Amino acid sequence: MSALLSVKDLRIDFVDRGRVTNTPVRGIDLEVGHGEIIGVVGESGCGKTLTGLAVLGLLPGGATATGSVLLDGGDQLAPNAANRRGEDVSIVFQNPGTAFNPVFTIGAQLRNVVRRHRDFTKREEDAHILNYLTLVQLPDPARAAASYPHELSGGMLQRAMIAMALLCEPKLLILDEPTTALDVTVAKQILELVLDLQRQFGFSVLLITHNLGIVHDICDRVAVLYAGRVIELGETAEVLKSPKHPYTQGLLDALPGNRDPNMPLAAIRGTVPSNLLGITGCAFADRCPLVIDECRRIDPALLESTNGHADACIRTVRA
Amino acid sequence: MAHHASRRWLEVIPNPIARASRARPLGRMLVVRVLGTLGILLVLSIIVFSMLHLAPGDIVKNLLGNRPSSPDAVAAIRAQYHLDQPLYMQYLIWLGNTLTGDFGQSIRLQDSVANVIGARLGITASLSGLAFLLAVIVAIPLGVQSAVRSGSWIDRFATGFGIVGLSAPTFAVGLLLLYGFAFYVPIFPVYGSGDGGLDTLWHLVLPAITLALGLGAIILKLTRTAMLRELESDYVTFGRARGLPDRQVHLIALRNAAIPIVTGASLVLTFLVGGTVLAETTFALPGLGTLLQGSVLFKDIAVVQALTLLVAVTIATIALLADLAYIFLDPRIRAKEGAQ
Ligand SMILES: Nc1ncnc2c1ncn2[C@@H]1O[C@H](COP(=O)(O)OP(=O)(O)O)[C@@H](O)[C@H]1O
Ligand SMILES: [Mg+2]
Repeated sequence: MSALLSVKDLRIDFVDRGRVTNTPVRGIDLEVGHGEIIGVVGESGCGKTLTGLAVLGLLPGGATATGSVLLDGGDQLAPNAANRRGEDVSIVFQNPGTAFNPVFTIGAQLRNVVRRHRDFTKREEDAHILNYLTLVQLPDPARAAASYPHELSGGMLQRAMIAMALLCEPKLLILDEPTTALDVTVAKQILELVLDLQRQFGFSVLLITHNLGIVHDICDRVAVLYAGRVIELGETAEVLKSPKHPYTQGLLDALPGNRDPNMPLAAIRGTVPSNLLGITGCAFADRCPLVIDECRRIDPALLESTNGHADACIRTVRA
Repeated sequence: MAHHASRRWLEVIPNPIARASRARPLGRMLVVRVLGTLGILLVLSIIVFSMLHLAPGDIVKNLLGNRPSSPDAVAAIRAQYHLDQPLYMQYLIWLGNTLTGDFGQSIRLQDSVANVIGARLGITASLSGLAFLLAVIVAIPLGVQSAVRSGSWIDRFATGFGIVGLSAPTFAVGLLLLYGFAFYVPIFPVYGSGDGGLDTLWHLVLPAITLALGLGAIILKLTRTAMLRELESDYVTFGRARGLPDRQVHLIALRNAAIPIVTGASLVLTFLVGGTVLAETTFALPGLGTLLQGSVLFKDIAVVQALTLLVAVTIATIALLADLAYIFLDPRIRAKEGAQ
């Protein structure tokens, strides 16, 4: 079976008056299978959100994408991608407090979506909306529908946003840091809900996060992003158990549970380069503890070493 | 796939989405506002009354002109208009009459203040109304377009229009329009208010455009700024992500932008008051603006007092309407008002 989502050599340039000012995404390759949950991890600014927006066909002004993004065979970089948004693919954003329009009720905002994609009578719309608000386990769905966003808590809003994203039964659900704005217990409930709904409906999930713990808990596979590239990709258990790329290793070392109590906190030194124009060699070279001379000359490609486990480090020994 | 097989909405939950009723103690707010306005009117009337008395010039001389006058005649006039009484008594007499609905006599025009104002109110109301309408009809769509297509030629045109509108003085614009469209290309009449109906409307076009330019420039700027901010907000991206078409997304953003636009537009309405005097003078329109100007120069106290109060009441009413619109437009404010 071919993949549901296939991203090939996706590059995103920001162009100002004909000049490229930044290239935050520099050739991403990624596939998401039917019913698969894939995690996309990386530090802030590494291009996770832009990649998600490109999959929606919804890049911000000034951004141009090259490469290919095929969703169920449809080209998401083509101008008509808008037709599939909300229908085949939808997204849940990080901040539920600002993702809803403050001056309309939740119900009215959900109704917009149903109207756009379905030909229902008003009664059917009501029933459909209430059904989905019930599915996301909101305690009082009818009241939630009649509420304005400021009347609901962050967790409730995030549930409503998930309901809104699922209203038209997308094949792919993108979650962009869905729990970053929530406190730990609520975050846990929201992730359990997503897992639960995914088992029930079988849609695919592209989960964007900077939290490897979440990846460990719910993702089948994981793609580690650094400076607009996938630098490691594989089964979650495999990647977390035996990471190949020093950056992935660094992310794992930075987790509180993995720290050697006798060592100082092993954060990755330095920061992500803020502009990626004119980088030669490996973008991680300046921060890498294992850097060798070649790293600054050769820009390593993402290559497979063992069954489905790939990485982009020239030091990796491949069979 | 299980997902697609389960078209669940057919097994409906027959439970219509009820809008919770939200009782708001609007009444209390209205009472507070009306009382506040009355207080302001009282203070304002005292200030204007004293200022007119302190200003140089003598109303009896203004009235008699260059005619020779006997001391008896002067005394008679002074008695007739209570000018022989101490200042505070004059004020109290005026206040007492006003409270019973009698606004007094115009000394200059020898008619009741009610008649004097009534005869000119129509012109000024039509002029301001027309100007406001023109400004809104042009500025809001232009502001929306210039935000939606920010950086395009339409945005640059709108920005240029805004700069001209804001910086050009009303009388200069008026004279320019007069020269261009009444004298050089005689489409519109040069002055006066015409003989009623459509003719009057025709006479009001140039003065209304004159007024609308400055007003429109401000509303344009407000609209553009508010729209730009709304278009950048998360809910717009999220709306697009759900597949809403651009047109609908823009309308929704305009609905949100309406909150700052309404507040701002109500503030600039007060700007109309000053502008109207200038426009009426430039185009020789017999409206309240020219009346105010003449009455101040003549020290025609009763008329000035009544006009001042009229302007103040109008501004207070507009501000109140804007606040009500605000409550109506923004559920967050509604909730706060309700919680008080
Ligand atoms: N609207 C924009 N305009 C200009 N640059 C942008 C814009 N959005 C993102 N970028 C650039 O792209 C980089 C990656 O952004 P993003 O995908 O949001 O990162 P993250 O991985 O944190 O989600 C940012 O560091 C920024 O430099
Ligand atoms: Mg992000």
